[in-house]
Amino acid sequence: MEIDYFKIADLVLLLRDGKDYLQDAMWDFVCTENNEPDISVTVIQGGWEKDYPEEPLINDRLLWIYETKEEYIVRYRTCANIECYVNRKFTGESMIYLKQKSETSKKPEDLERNEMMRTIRDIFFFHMLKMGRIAVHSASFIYRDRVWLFSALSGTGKSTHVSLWHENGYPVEDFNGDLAICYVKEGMAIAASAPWCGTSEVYCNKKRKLGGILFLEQAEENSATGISVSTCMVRLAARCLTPNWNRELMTLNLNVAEEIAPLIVSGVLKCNTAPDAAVEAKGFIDGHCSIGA
Amino acid sequence: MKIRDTYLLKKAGDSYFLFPVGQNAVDYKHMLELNGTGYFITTQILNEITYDELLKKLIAEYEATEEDLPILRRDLDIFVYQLREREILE
Repeated sequence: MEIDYFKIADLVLLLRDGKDYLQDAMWDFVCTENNEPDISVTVIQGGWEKDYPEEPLINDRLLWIYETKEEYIVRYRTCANIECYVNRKFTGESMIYLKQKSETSKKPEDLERNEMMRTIRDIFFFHMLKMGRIAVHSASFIYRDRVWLFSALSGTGKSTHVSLWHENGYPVEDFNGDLAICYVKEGMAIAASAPWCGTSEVYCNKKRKLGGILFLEQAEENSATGISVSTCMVRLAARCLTPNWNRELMTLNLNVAEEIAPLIVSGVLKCNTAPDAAVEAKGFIDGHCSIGA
Repeated sequence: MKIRDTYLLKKAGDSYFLFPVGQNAVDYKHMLELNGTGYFITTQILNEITYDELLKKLIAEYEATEEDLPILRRDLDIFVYQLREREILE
């Protein structure tokens, strides 16, 4: 049995027998820690022989989610190599069941690696939510030693906006192109990057104080406006990638968002794709930083 | 009448929201922001309640008179219709 440890957002993830399926990004988070892991994932070759429960909790176009007393079972509709995964409700354990036994000579293909990375991501998000962390769909960078998130629906222009900061020559450092793991530690809001970054290929193994979040909306004119803590909480919860499969999980998302919202700067950035959009956003952030946020 | 368990009621600051969860979240149902009266009604129908019982509770809560009753009933009907249309009610 092969065991590897990874540290992401201050949590130790143990992976049994899945290393061949990992993408390079994951190895940037490898650690030597071998204490009790927070989350453990075991990859099982072709071992799923049970029947699925009759009624799914969720019936999505890509997957079914079943709930039993002890666990959630996530079954993919179309997946090249993974049959399903099981999240234990009351521990940090999960199992990934592969469809068939891989031949030792056959190396996993890109598609299989993508599937495995996505599955480990979803498992990690499930368990980390119970440990007070949410994943916020956003593009982000480090500026003034804090992480700033730009969040919006896919296609709104998150990455485009971040690239404007680079084009304007502002001193920013890329953090993550698709998500940030956010949580509160010792009274401070923290953002951690992760090996998962959508198709952006922008990630790092760093964490910083979370400065704030700007919710992007496309507009002809650029403007940045502050929002109330409660609006921030609601919008933050709506942008979570962490699961909201039922009331218990949704409550956890909302509780973490509620904890984070008063600790950060938040606003709505109405913007176009001109460099002035970054000027406007920078002005908003600088204005809040200079008054001690 | 009863709120489906695929919605979650949450207070945020001075506002109240019904958040879609589970299948409703997957289906991109939207959250609903409630005013104070909407919040009162929603808390009453978290558990099974009949229309008439709900109307009585509203009359008591807002100390409504006979004169207020048509308006109260109309507003309740509109709100219940909105909840039904969004499939928030069982």
